[in-house]
Amino acid sequence: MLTTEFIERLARRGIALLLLGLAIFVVLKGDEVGFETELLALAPTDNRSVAQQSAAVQLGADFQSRAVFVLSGLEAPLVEAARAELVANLSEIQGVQVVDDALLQRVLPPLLTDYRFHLLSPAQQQLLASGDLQAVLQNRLADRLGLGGTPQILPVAVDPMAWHSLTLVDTLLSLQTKERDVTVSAFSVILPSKAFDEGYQRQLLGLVEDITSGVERSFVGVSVLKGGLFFHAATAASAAKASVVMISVVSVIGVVLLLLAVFRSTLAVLIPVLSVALGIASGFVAAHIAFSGLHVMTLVFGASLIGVVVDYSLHFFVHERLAVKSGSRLQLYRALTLSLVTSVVAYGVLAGSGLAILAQVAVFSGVGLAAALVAVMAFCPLVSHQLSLNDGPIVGALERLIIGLRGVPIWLPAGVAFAGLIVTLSHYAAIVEEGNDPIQFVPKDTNQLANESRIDRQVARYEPGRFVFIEGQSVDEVYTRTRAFFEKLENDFDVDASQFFSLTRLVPAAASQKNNYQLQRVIYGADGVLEQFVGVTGLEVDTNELNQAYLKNEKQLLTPSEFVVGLEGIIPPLWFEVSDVTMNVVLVPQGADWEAIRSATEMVEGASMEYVIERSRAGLRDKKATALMLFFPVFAVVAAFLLAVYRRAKALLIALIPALSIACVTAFFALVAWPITLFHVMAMYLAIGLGLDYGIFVFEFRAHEYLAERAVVVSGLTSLLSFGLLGASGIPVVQGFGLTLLLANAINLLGALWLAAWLEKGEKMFRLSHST
Amino acid sequence: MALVAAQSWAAAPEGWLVEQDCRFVTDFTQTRAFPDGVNYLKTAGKLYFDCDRGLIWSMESPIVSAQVFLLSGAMYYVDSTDTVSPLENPIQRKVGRLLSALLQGDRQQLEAEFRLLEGAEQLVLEPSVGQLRRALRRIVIREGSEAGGRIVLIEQADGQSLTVAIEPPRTLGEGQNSGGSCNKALGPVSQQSCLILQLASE
Repeated sequence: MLTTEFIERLARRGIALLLLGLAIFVVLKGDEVGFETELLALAPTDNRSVAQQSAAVQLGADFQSRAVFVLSGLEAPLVEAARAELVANLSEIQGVQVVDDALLQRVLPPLLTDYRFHLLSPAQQQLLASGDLQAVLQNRLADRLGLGGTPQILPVAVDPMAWHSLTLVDTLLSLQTKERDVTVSAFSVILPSKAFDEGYQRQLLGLVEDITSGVERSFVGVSVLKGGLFFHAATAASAAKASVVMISVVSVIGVVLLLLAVFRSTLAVLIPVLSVALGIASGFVAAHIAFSGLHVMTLVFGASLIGVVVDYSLHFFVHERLAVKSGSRLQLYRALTLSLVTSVVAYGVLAGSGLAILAQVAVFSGVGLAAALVAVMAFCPLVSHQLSLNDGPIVGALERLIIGLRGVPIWLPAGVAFAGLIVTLSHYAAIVEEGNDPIQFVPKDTNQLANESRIDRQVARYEPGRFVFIEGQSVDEVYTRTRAFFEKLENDFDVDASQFFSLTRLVPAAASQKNNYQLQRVIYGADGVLEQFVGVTGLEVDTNELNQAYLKNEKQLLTPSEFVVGLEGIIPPLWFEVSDVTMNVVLVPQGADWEAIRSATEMVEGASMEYVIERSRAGLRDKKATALMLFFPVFAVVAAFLLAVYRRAKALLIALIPALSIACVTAFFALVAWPITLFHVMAMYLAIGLGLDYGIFVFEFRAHEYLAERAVVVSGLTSLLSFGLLGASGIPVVQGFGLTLLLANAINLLGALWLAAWLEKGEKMFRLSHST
Repeated sequence: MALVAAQSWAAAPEGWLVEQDCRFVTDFTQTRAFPDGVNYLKTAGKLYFDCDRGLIWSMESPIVSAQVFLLSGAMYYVDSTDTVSPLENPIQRKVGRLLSALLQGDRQQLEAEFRLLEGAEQLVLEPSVGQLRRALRRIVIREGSEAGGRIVLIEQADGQSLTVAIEPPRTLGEGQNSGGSCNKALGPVSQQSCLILQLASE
């Protein structure tokens, strides 16, 4: 049989196991603990094809890992010298790879050497296609014997005529940065993968800042701009940390002062603080294990748990006198457990939001609350008998408020909730369409945003985050469709397709490569151009070996995926072969005609536009719409749950509390045209859990005047404090989350007190009717 | 940068390459050395310069062809069959422009793209801007074995080097028309090149 003592004993064993588990985690994983700050981790998952998702993820990861540096000044030589120093210093940071033309020149030749017999520039193709061997020979002799000449990229023994070197020069020119102004010099760096681990990030940011400011000091007149998601993430992490510190410190101080004021005992502070600490530690460990790491934003939201977790201790202490009278805490524990279950159900909806960050919050908070409850059951009984409730002022105010609320008929809150629902539904389209901008995840760093704008204007050639995807079942099909896409752009829309970047221009299609091979037989055949060239110049090279190499490499065709792998990190991943789908990613030039591109993609099979920001926006919008619609089934489930537990229709009034708060808050935002984000909606789910908590306690203890209400008021005040602090954060999503909870929980509190008044009136009338 | 005596051949821009008059012709031999240290290519020919029009780099051995660099910036290649085509190789264009600037004594143009390091026995030009630095490491100009001659060493970024030995120039009279003096200086094989030069001024 379940008894209070059994439950408390079980709880203490549970705590012992929990502490053991925490200790094991610290020993085994303590040094792995860190926080992730990647902003793309906050993006919603989507339902595109596997190839498109793979491309989006890899492009996103590549984009995230790059930082751009732009130097500008009045004198080109000074800018060049400053660039050389900046490159040298950044290269010394472990894990940082400078990606510039020098790297390209080192990496490209060895990559393409084995494929040289299949690659030709358009000018070379034209020269060979003319069939005029003498013209080819003259061309090479003039180049090698004249002033200047083609860079000897491949060794003389392999390429005596610098013929293949000429092809490579053409390829290099296509990939190299073309600076519009000699007084502006730019390059990018690839950051190590741990650049988004919060601890390393701070270090790296500090190093980069020192190096760039050092260069600006040494080269007066040269300024260095930095751009890239890394710097935004660093700002966001910094703001997140500041939020956590503020919320944690102020929240804890506030809660401690409130508890001291109500209970006038340090014991009353110790146990709640202990339950908060255990709750947060358990939530942290659980989320860390479930997700192999924790995003710093999870910690920000989790910090608000302080106000919720402390409720369990409050309810315990407030209901202790009843427990003493009845000799059992079973009713209290039942209420606490029901409260936990409804909260976990609400958090469970977060877990299914499709947003990784909210799934982390769900696990963090759900486990944290459960651990805190177990801690309360384990420790509170040890000290509660020593506490006395000094809530005179609260009870006085409470009594007056409840008397005032007695006059509020049931149809009023129900009617207001219904009116709120109607207002919300009438603004539904606007609610769904607005407030979906992914920029809400980062605090507004106007300096960094201005830098990004200047960088874009000065050096960006292609639109960041916007691409054209061209898919097909085979490499050849993708080449054909890519060609068709460019032809559509040029012929139907008068768009200069040569400004677009496509790997298909650097790596010829298989048929072209075979054609190039055939064209070069005039060079490598008997009495070919090569033999004649060596005869004239007297170079000491083994032409027989070179001719044999030509014959052996007939089948050595270069594929786009080999090219991308060979240049990994230097160019973004622009070619994907996933399952049986092949995809080419085309880069779009800055200032391109998007309508024309959109139309062209619609006319070419397999072509589609990809706009990362728009995709995120659409994802957030869809998730928000789904979350809004889920309110109805969630309330239905809650109603069924309440009926099943309490077996009376009156219990449905518990659900009216959060229904009222959600309807009012949503209607308010709609009426003042305040954009509702997905985070506002998720906060509403938490408010449902909180409202149900208050309602359950008020309903459970309705026979005991002002008992549950006291706990609800004090609990409500602590929650309002911590959510209010979230509302003061500099991060827009956190601010929205906190503000929503603040408003909704204030209405929850009022609703709970109304329910208490209504139930009390009902009880009095019942007693009156039975006494007569 | 060390100061040099005014009498030093390297002190004045017009003295860097050759002491010349408006029109002159000189013989050159060019040796292209490859990074492998084994192979090299030798070319012999004549350099014709006209201060009003441009210069002709006429190769005579082992092939007959010419590169024409006009002061207007246009550049052409004339092959052994007198077929004319625009000179498109960027390094050749760059070196041609450099040579013209040196022969004209155009210090301003040189300083826009190079750091000039003047020594007692040589002049060193180091590219100071990115695009040029990708192609060239440096250019060194020294006095030749014969008085009045010069040796120009062009070190390319790819490890190749061009050593051009220029003989003392032979001045051509001002009175003679440009076309006539050019043909006379370079011979009938360079007729087309001389024509290009002559047409350039018209």
